[in-house]
Amino acid sequence: MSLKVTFPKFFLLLLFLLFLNIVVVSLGNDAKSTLTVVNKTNHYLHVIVDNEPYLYVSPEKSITHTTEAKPTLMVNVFYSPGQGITGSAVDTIEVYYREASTSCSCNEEGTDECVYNPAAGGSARWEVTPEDLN
Amino acid sequence: MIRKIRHFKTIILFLILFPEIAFSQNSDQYTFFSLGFDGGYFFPVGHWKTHRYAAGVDQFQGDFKIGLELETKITRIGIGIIAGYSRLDLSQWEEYAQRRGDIISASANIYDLGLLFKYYFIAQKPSLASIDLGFNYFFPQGHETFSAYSYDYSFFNSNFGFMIGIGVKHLLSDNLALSLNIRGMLSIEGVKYPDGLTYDIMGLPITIGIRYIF
Repeated sequence: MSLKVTFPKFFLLLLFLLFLNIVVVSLGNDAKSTLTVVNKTNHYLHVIVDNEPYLYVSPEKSITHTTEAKPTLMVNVFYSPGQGITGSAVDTIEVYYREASTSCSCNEEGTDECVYNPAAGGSARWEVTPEDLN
Repeated sequence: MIRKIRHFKTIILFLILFPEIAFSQNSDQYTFFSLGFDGGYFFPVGHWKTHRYAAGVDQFQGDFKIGLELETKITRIGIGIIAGYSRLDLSQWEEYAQRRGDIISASANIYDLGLLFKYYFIAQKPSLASIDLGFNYFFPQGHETFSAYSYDYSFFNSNFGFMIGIGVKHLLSDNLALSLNIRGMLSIEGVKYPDGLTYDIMGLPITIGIRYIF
């Protein structure tokens, strides 16, 4: 097969792969906030993060909640029922969060150059101890 | 899960290639279309029904099951669409928690929707009997209220699964039949706890019903 025939096909393939990469990168930029709750008690716990329940978390195990980027996450933790022990805790966990923004500057030609900064999230960790649930 | 799907495909292939065997000299392989209504009991089977830490307590016990079935039978092969609802009894768990000072109110059920393949190994009027194999989607769900908290059983996981069993029909007339169905069911990874523990949901629904034959 001659180079004249193969080159356009190769170029098209390259463009397609480049497009895929752009799409993957842009999708990967979705900002997330993550919270890990670790059960450091000797009993099973129920954990509710922003109204999403994580039930029967066994001792020394953890759960990870991932959501769209936000500055705080509301967490309810309590002993699972039927264990002969009561205790609960409510906390608002702060997570690193940067709002989306657009910054503009004037270039040499006198026109504005604007850069979009997408929102960014972070992660937090809470190791729940018996003292937290008293 | 892939191994379970391979087993299911093997069973389906065996069913298709199963040679015609005359169980009676005068088998009636007539064709019909039927609509059926079933009612019965669902028996949970396996580890998934036991409570995580309440020793000896079944968190999920059996309760009633109802179902609907639409079937086309051609010679010895039947193909049906089935839908069902099984309620689960959580009274043993509620009583256990109450004995330990915690008042809870809990409920759970399983919806299912699927395709059923039948091979009628007895097809002589008035009695028909079939081996049934189903490919289903199961929707388990549950809810609990404890103290000031109210939460869904988020460890339930809707997923595909299988049914296998036996169906028996007794024709009362050309348009009406009584039916008895005993089918084991399995929902793959129907229970997934957030700390990683996973179980298949298994059960044995036994139902009786009526079939309107067209």
